[in-house]
Amino acid sequence: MDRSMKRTTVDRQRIRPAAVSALLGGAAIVVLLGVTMVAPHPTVAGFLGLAVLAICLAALYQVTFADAFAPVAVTFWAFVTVWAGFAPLLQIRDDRLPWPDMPLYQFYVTAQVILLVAVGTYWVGYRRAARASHRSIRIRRAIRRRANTAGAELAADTGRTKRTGRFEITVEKAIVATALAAALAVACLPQTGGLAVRFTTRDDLQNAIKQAGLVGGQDLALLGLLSTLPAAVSLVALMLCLLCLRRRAYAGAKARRFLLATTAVAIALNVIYNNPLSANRFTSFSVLLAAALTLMRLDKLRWRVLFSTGMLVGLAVVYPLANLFRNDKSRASLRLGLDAYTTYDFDGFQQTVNSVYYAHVHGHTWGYHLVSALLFWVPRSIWKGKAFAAGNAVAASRGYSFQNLGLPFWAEIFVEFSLVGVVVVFFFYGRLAARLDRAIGAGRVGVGLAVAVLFAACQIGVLRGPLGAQIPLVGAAFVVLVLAVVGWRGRSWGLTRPPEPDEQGDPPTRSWSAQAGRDVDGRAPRVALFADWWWPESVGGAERSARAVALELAQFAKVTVFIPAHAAKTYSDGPLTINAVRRPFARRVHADSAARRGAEFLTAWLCPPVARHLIHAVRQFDPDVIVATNVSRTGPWLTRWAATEDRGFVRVYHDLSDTCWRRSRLKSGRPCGAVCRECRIKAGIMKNATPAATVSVCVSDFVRDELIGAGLTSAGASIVGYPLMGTGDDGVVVPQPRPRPRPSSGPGGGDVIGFIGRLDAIKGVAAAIRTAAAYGRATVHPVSMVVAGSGKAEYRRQLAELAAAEPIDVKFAGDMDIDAFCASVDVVLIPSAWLEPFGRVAVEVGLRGLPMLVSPVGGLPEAAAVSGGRFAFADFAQPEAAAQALIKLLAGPATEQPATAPSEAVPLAESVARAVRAVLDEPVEAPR
Amino acid sequence: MSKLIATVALAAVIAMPAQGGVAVPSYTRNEPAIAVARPSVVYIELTYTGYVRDTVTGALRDQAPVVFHRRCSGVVVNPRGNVVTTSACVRPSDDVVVATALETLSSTTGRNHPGAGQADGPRTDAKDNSAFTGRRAGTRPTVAISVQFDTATPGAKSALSVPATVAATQLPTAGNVALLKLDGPAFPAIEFGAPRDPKPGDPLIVLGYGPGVSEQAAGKYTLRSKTVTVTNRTGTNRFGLSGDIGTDSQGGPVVDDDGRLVALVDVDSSLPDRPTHDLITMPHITELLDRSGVTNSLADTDRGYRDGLAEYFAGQYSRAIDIFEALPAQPSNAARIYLDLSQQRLADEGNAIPNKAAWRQYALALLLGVFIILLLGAVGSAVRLWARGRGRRRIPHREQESWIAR
Repeated sequence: MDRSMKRTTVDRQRIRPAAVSALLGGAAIVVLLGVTMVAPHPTVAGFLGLAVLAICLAALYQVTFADAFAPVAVTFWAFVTVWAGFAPLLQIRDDRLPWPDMPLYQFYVTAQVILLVAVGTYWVGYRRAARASHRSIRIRRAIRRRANTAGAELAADTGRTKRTGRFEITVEKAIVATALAAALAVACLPQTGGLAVRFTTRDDLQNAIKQAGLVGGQDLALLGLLSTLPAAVSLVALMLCLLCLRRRAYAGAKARRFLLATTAVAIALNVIYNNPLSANRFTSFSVLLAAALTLMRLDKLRWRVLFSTGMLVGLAVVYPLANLFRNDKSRASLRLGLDAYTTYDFDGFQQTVNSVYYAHVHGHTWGYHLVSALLFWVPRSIWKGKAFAAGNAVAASRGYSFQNLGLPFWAEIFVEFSLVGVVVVFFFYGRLAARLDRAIGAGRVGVGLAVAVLFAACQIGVLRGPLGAQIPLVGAAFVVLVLAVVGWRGRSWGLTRPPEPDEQGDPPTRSWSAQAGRDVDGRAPRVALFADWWWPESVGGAERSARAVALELAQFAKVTVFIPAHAAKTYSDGPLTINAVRRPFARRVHADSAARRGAEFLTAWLCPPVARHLIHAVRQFDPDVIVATNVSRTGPWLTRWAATEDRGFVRVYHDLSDTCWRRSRLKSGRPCGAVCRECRIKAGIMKNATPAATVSVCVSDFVRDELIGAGLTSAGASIVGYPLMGTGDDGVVVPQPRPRPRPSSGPGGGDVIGFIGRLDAIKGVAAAIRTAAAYGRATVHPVSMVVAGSGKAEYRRQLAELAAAEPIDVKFAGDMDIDAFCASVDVVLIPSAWLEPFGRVAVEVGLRGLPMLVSPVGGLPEAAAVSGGRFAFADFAQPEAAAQALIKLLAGPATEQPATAPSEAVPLAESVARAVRAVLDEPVEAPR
Repeated sequence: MSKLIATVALAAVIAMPAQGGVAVPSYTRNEPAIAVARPSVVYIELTYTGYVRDTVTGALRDQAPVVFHRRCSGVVVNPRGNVVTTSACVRPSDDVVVATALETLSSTTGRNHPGAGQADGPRTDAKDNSAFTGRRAGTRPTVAISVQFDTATPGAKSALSVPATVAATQLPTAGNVALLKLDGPAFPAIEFGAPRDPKPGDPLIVLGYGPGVSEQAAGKYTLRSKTVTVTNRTGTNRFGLSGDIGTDSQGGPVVDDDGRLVALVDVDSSLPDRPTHDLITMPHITELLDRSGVTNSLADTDRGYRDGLAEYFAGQYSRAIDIFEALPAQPSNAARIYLDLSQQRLADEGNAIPNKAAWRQYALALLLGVFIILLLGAVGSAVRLWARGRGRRRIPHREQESWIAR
């Protein structure tokens, strides 16, 4: 063990005090609500409502304090918190629902379960997509990197980085949209009661529209064309104008004046069509919110907190007060305080209950209302079976005289597609919301941002539903927006300046400096290194090599090592941070009990969650490059996750374990010449789990060739790096001088033959003892043997018995420092029976000038060659022949084999560092 | 293929027929109170038969008898058939009777008779010189009073009509309450509320009869109700109501949230259009009943009906059905109506059982949903990987090889 390595600090993962405060505060709020809202009239529905509220508050906190502004999620959670979370608690407690109806207690639990499932799956979908969005940034970075590297040809190949301008928002597009809105207003206003009626009340407007004959048989097609479409176009026009102003997209003062005038017209049109006097509250609110979100970028946390708080307060307090604009009756019946939460404004829970009743009596409708809503523009005279809004149908089923009611989105999905549909739709709804939030967070002014803002602004109306009532406006706005922006290039009048590079909106691609190893912001690249074990759990050569690699990388990168462990802990290893992450069913030590080893092996392959904590920890670290050394303890899952991340990925192959279930390529004590049938399955799994763009670094040509043969890498995507070499400053292998003879050696003292390594059958220790004994017999010299290393007691006992039987004097020295070992022996036997990937011992011994007799299997010949030491090959299965080879080796220079290391040999650490730099777009020199 | 499936699915959805309007039981906010009171609310019809005679000459203005009806509402106060209504309804003034008779005569003969319909209008010679009498001068015209429950058919002389007599009245200026006595065995009665005047702002429910407006009720009189609030005193120095339900509701009950009587509704004669929004409060009603030796009481049937309603409105339809089925037949079919409603709601909704849940179904739905998500995710991933694989085959390997080759 390297004594220089110390565990300096052991830190538990830090928990932020603010998060603890928020957790305690949230818990206190939930408890308080439970005591005051649920405990007085405890019901299952009440407790479910409390759970919904808890989820909503937690999610709202989470999205508020997330890295980026997330208005879609904030509006969703704020609305559900107040409208579907808090208000129903009060209504259930007081047994007082907004609409007069017979009790339907039998459906309360189902209604709350629908809501709970909806918010739960939305949350899961949102979080998953948020992570995926993070991944998407990586993909775009990678594409850009490739574009930078491979030039325009590559960019053309990807077809994604080339900007056509079609998705940009230009002044010309804003002007055209506003002109269209104005033309529609001029044409349609006279037919819908005129201008003045837009500033009276909703009732007056409805009467005027009715008198104009636009509402026939509840068919909204004509009304949609003449009244809703202008309102939608006005909203879109305003958004486009404001986005142009935000981006300062105008090309010069004249264009700016044009844009300002257009914006004024768009504002006026919205005042006409979407004012709170004659438009419904959701429309007015949506326009205001869209304008605000269009203009503002709430990058600072305090603004985001203010936005979330404002949404909550607005929905809890201002929303009921908006009835003041409605009509005299609403003004007269205005209720304030907690009383307001039992009014018609908060009928979401009751309508959900009614939806359950509807489905109970009439069954599910399987998209009937949804399709009718989407095709609202088809006149009922053509499609007689066109459904009314689902809210009307549900209200009618309860015998309500007033049926134009809202219907929560989750309730409508339940009516249409059952609870299964709620699960599926809300999961993908959450994913959609995350993507839209990302578009807003990215900040690039384009159609993506416009669509996301429009969705965020109109979402509350959609959530309150029904879709049949919301889609005419919202759907029309979306269609108009997309057509207005994407329909033409919109630069023909020269009013829009060309976009600047920093308007891409995506996080900037990091450019790494070869000298400083820093990006343009001065940040060192982050490298996550996967390993199975780490100090102080020293196991073998692979771990030592991995540590050398990590230390090399730490010279220009921030390196954190991630290893699976039975208990989580974080500590330092020199410049490295070691993150031991809890893995279920993990071994406590390398040589743990058979049961634990078996459990770890089985779970590594059959239980993907074993890598979950590791994945989470790595994701938190957010590395630019992942370097995977040994990952057998987590099976294929860690690399499989990395494959989906599309981060830079470098795989270091220390052995052939990816091509063999036993990891040794040894069957019945004999090396496997090729990958057997059952092991091909493992190789196939690992191949699929490995990222496609992986750069592979193999510890020997032998390993590389085997892996290429197994399909795990290719010649073009792999290089070789030797874990240890006897090289000079120029990298060329230098023959090592022979050490001074030991005082005890020679005819008087006898020869001391050594073996160092794990005491395991595959290491050929028994063969070494037999060879040493045969050597003694052949030379008639006194011969002794030093066996250094540890292993199972039973095997060691067998070896001792063998030594006694041969006979030969064998000293079992236990674990020894390599220098001490080499100082105590004259020659070293490396009799491995298995296909050693490299054979670190050979280099260690060669470096110290000792001759060695090597088994010519696996990577051992290469290791011996790059060691610079003297060596000879022998088949240790035949001790007598091996003894003869040993005699020749020890006879002197005549038998010495030259160092035949290839001139292009590169140390492993350097190879990995080159690979990492290459992944980071670092210019690299050709491997020597 | 996917386009074909989508087209077929869309066509199937579009082809779905519009859902027909199935009659569903409705519910109004004050239905519990209205349901309690409605069996005891009665339609009162007075049928006058007489002759219009010139008081100067003594001659009949027409040889044929003049028959006309007066209609109003009332409420049964005990099972013995005592009904309270307004005196103005069952004992109108002679001026009102003569004016109505002249109006009826005008409409039947086609000749205009000055003073017709001007009971409260300026006095005219024609009205002053007319009298409504019996066949012989100096005799009174005949007046038949009948009472009907539920939907009433004007002028009907059927088994549903119950004859009634006026037992006592108050002067219009002394309360204007009249007491009728029905001829029959047992009647559903209303329960009295607190014997005090209501306060302005109190929410109340006014019930009474009016012409039917629906197609089914055309030509009939149906029970109306309206939720109102008490207002300040009107021109008659009585408390008023914020709304009314028509002239024929005069004498109808005004009840509280529990369906208990708190007043009768009367005409506000201080206004030209004579809205029916004045209250005759409980002190006047009880005064007349006390004077007449009549008390408010409920029969066992009434209490059973109320118990059935309590179960019905609590959503316990099974128990409501048991109770309603055990009730004996009554003049009002309210119990039958609620029995039918209970049966329908039991079939549609089931009993309102708190905390009823189907956890296994929820879990199954959740699992199925997760499975579908995974399935869709797998399909999406496969497509993505395929697409990305195509891209990688072209680009990244070339890139990798390029740096290694450099």
